Amino acid sequence: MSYIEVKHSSKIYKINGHDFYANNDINFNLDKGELTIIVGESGAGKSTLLNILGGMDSSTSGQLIIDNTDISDYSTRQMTTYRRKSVGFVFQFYNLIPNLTSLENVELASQIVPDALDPIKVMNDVGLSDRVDSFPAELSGGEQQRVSIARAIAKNPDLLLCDEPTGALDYKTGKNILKMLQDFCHNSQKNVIIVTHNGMIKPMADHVIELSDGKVKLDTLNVSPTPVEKIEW
Amino acid sequence: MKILNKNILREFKFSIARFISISILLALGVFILIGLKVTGNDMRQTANDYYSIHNMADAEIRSNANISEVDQKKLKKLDHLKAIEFTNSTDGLISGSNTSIRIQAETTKLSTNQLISGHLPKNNHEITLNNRDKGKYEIGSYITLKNKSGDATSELKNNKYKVVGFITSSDYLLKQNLGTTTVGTGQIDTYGVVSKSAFKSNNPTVALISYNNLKGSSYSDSYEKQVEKNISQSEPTIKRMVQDRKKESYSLLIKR
Repeated sequence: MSYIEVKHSSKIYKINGHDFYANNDINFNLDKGELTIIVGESGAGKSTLLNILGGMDSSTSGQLIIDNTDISDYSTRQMTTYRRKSVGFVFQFYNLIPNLTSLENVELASQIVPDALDPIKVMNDVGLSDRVDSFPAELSGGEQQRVSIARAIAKNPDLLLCDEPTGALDYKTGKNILKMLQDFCHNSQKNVIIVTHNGMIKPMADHVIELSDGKVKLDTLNVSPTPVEKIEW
Repeated sequence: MKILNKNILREFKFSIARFISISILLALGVFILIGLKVTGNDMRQTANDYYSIHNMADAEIRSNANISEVDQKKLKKLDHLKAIEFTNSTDGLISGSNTSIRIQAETTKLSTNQLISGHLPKNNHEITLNNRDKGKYEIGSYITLKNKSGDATSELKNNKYKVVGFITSSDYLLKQNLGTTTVGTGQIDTYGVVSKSAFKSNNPTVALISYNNLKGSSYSDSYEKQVEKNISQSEPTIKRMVQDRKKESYSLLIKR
């Protein structure tokens, strides 16, 4: 049984009276513990799909079944609970709270869920144990992204969604971040979904979904994913 | 929710200048808005309280000549009267200065005076003065009155009065411009109250009136409209009285 099932999901925007399909009849299934990469050109509908999966947007038609529960007809309140308890989100531009230190940013997330991980331990895992008292403005881009990943992981979510997590980072730092995400996925058996336009990192995933013009172009399973260290791009 | 509170607290701490500015801005806005909204009411209420304390008359009839006994009876029959009081008033100068003063007979029912210090005049040798003149005159001192030509005022029995107290009056709200007169500079500078017996003639020149059909406080629309209505209702009667009085006076002159 698949953990996530997307069935005939479409997202339609009305532009100047015309229907614009951001997502057009998308279908795929993800098993538990898979590292999934959604890849596609700009405007292919990747971010729309990710927002729908994360409960930040709802599809115009179709079903989204997570852990045997159809969340596509959730009320706003149920959506909030779903986002709060089940989803961790890593943004391209970090979205850290500037008034809080990096540790407090992680603590903030851990305090809103029932079975959170220890914030100090998570900070250790992302290699920031010596920067816990720094404010986001005092951290480098890579460090900020690691804090935002720590913040997402500390919630102990069933689903970790990453929207272009390496988009604003250089090659080496980006590699570190991806390594961290791959390790988290394989060590905790949770689902991680990474959205990227960089097709070169496809080998690191268990499952690759290629989007084009709002449709699934390719849906491939990768039996033996390559460790991030061995990927060059 | 400890971290959330921490964040809120730091938001204030890191922008303390902005916080203070906005607070001051709000306070200023509230201050002005409340001020605009409340000051008018406050002033009206204060004035109304002041008038109530002094039993201020709703209307006043002044005559250059004396109001005769017959006319007094006619005035008492005007519509909607609650009370009417006849009193005397004359203007003079305080000798030794160029201060013009309006002397009024003491009233008991309407437009009464509030005693601030001393006592009200007990005999026709005593006077109480405007409370604003407290610095100029002392209780126990004497003032002498004269008319514009420097002689004794014809309406009063005496011209030398002992100051026995200080009063406020609802007839005079301003510090200056208390009214116009034919003596001195033409402006009344101050006022004083003497006992009724200090006036020579018993025929009054002023009639104070209060009405029984008024609603609302002073300055309210309903009050002002009703007073105006009452006054315009009485006007024909009073005009007739004036005509009659004129004829009477002429005929008296001719007889002589």
